[in-house]
Amino acid sequence: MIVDDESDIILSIKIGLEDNGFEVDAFSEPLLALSHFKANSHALVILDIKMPDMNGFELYREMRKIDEKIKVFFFTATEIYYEDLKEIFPTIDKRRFIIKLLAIEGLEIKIRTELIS
Amino acid sequence: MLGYFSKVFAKSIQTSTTLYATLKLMYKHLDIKLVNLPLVKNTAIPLSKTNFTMLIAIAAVAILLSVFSYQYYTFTSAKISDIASHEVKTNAQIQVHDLSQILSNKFESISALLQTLADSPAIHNNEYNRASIVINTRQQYSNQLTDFYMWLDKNGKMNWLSNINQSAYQKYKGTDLSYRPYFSVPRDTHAAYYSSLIESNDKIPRLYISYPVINMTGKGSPGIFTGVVVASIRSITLGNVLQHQLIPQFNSTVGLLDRKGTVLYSSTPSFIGNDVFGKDIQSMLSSLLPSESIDSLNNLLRSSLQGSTGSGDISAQGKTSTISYEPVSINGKYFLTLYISAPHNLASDVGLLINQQKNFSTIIVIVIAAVAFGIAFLVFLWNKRLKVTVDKRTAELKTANEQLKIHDKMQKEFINIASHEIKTPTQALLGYSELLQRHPEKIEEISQAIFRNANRLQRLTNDILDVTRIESQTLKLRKEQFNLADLISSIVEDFKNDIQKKGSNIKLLYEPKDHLILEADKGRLTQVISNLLSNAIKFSKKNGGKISITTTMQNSNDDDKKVFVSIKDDGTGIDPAIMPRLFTKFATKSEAGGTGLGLFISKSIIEAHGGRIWAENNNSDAAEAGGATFYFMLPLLPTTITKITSPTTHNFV
Repeated sequence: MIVDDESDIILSIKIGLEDNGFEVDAFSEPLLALSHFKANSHALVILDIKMPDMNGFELYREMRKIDEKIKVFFFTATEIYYEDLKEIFPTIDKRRFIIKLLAIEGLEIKIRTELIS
Repeated sequence: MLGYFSKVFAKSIQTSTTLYATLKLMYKHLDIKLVNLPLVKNTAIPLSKTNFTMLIAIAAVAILLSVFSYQYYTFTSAKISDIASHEVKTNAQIQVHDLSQILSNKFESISALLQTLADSPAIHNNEYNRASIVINTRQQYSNQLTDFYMWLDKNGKMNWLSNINQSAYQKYKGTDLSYRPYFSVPRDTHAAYYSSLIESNDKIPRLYISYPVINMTGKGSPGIFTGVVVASIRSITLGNVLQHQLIPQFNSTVGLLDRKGTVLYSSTPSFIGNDVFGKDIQSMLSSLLPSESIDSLNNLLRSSLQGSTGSGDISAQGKTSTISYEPVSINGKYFLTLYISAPHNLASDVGLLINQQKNFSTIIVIVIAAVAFGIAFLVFLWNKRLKVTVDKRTAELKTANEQLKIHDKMQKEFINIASHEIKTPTQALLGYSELLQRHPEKIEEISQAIFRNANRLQRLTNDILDVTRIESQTLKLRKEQFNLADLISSIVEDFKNDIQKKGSNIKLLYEPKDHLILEADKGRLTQVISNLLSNAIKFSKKNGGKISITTTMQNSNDDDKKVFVSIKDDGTGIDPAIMPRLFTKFATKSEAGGTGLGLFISKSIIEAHGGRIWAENNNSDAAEAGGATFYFMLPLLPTTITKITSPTTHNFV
């Protein structure tokens, strides 16, 4: 699942990943995304951080309540939110942060590595 | 000793009570005083606990110093009084000794004169005329002390009385004085006689010294008694002579008692002739002295009448006198006792002086303490003022620090917004260009997306360039005359097309009323109005949102015509946190998106046209989200206003 309020970004990534054999649900509204998220329904979520209505951290927290083992990537323009994230989830790995810009190919590799581990 | 300490204690208590009262008073008035200080105006600052404790400590030190100085001076005073008393005592002893020696000498010389008289041939031969001259001469030798000389015959009858005229002599001649001891004793003993006090026929108390006149008939014979020669001494004369010998500064008085205790001389004349232990004197003393003083006085008198030398102190009514006594002897024979009473006036004078000094020094210490207290008080006050200043500066620094933090946060926000705004379309471009190769069938859709994102990047670039121009003051306006109403209408037209394309149902209402002719940069004003409309649409309810644009003319006066344009929405309203810096750079919440440059650029454009831009929430309570209204004002050209004859109503769905 991919959630980002910029529809052009999710669209390009959705098509790119689907070309590589992934099944992708894309949402530009976090609350809508949350309503489609179920336990074990998704292997991994890619979340933008700054979004209207609900930010990426809150969304991740809510998703963990549904599926506590859900794997996550935060897809963001800057690193400055990493410190904020560490306050909320002190054990979170920096690898979970994917800084834009990244080609779809690069993203695909990261996703595969994550899914295998 | 106990009395002394209780006095010191009482004084300390008194001093400390006064200081405590002063302290309390100062503490009480402190607020009022501080209120009057300009620096701490309307700020009542009570003394801190530490400062109050320090003031108490200063007061305590002052009390201790007062007590110590009081004790020191009391000690010195007692010591000096002792020395002065000792001086008085010694002086009294020396004087009584000297006087008794003088008296002895005088008596002995009278005694010697009498002896020469007794041995005189004129008297032996009863040559009355010659004898009277000799007797008169002898009397004159000793007239300082003696009253008269007498010559009595063997039967005690008066032969001669010195210093009297013939008629008086005739009166006294032959007077029988044989009953007097000064006749009978030398007659019987053939030796000199020294009387005690005798009241003479003329009622004057006198002392008598008599010598027997013995005619020596041959060697070894006891001799024949033919009469006595007598010298008379008035006790008052004796006393006066003695009194004159005394040093006046000492205020001493002299007293004389004979061997029996009869008062020969006293500064109290009524005592003279009375027994010192008799009823009269004792009852008088008891009215003057306390009983223990009378006892010690009587003991002193008794031992003095033994013929001994000594001295003692008698106190009465807070005053002490030293009484020194010494026997007066004639030719080794105890005759009478001399007393000198010396009051301790000098000692008490010295004591008084020291007492004054003691009080003065106590006052000085208290004054010094008060001054120290005052200085300390001022220092504390100054400290307070300093603290107030420091607090003020600290608060200023805190504010500055807060501002720095806000600035820092804003900078972070800027980086975040800038990278988001740049990276988002770039990421999309990157993604779509990858897809373009793999999905040639979607070329139209993808190229549209590429165009959209490239456009977005271009807008961002333009905005940044505009900001740069504004900040370097190189923003140039290409002014032309046009009707603002027409411009707004055409922009509204474009927007409603967009809204329609997006399938939204936001209502956009505008009714052009007037010819709003102005001279302005059409492109820049388009930029402003578009920016305000985009914002209104962005924050409007996606379903059923309503945005109305109104223009109002103000001032029919041709020279100062203005138009007010308002763009009112019913969306979420302006975040109160953003409101104060709404028209500054990067004033945006990153959740809402956008660069936060639009309103800054709009404001600069409006102001460059001599106008003004502002905004307000429709509901004062932002929580109610009644939307916001943005206003801008622009000056109009002074031309005749023509009503648009058939106004068109644009209601776009």
